[in-house]
Amino acid sequence: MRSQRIFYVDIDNSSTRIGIEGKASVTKELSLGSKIEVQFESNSTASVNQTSNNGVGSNTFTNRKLEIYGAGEHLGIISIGQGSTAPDGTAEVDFSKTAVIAYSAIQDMAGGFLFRNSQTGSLTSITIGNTYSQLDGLGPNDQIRYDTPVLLGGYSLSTSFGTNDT
Amino acid sequence: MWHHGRSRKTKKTEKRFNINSKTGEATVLTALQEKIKLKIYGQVNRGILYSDD
Repeated sequence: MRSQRIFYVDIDNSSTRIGIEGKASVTKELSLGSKIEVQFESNSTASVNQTSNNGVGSNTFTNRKLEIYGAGEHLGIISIGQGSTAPDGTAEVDFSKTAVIAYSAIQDMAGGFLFRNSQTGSLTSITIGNTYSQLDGLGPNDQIRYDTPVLLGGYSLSTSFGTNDT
Repeated sequence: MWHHGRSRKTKKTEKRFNINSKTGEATVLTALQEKIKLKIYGQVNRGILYSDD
């Protein structure tokens, strides 16, 4: 049965979060740092749907970044822990710079909504998130990552190896 | 009262509270953090989603 609804949501494209970064210079060339970033989503846009519109979510903090790193102007950056992998975000560029309007991750915006059966109009168990791929590189993961120093032309190279990689 | 050798006078801790106007990130720096720079940041991103199916 067709219906209209309003949801008060946390935007999963860029969730409600808090973070702490610490950085200390060990030598003139080397500095060490850490990143802790967690999110807390209540009624995430990726989870609410026609049957669940209030109090949806784990109601707790979930991790985003938990990593330590060493960095130097000539060394580059070596990081270990949970963080953004080298290919993360390489194919989800939104030229509007809003990460919403032309964003590839449709499931972040309304991934929990259920499709209806075209014959009966009843809700199925298939969600929008089940049927679309973000078409991005690997997401955040537990990993070791290396970023080279800035090379000629302002470019740098990155590689990472995570626990789910082969 | 005079103390011999090193002064026991405690160095006063200076606090600075800076907000980046572009990113909204807030940074608290104290004299104790001259070597360890600590940045605390966060965001609350709530909205209204309308559906008509």
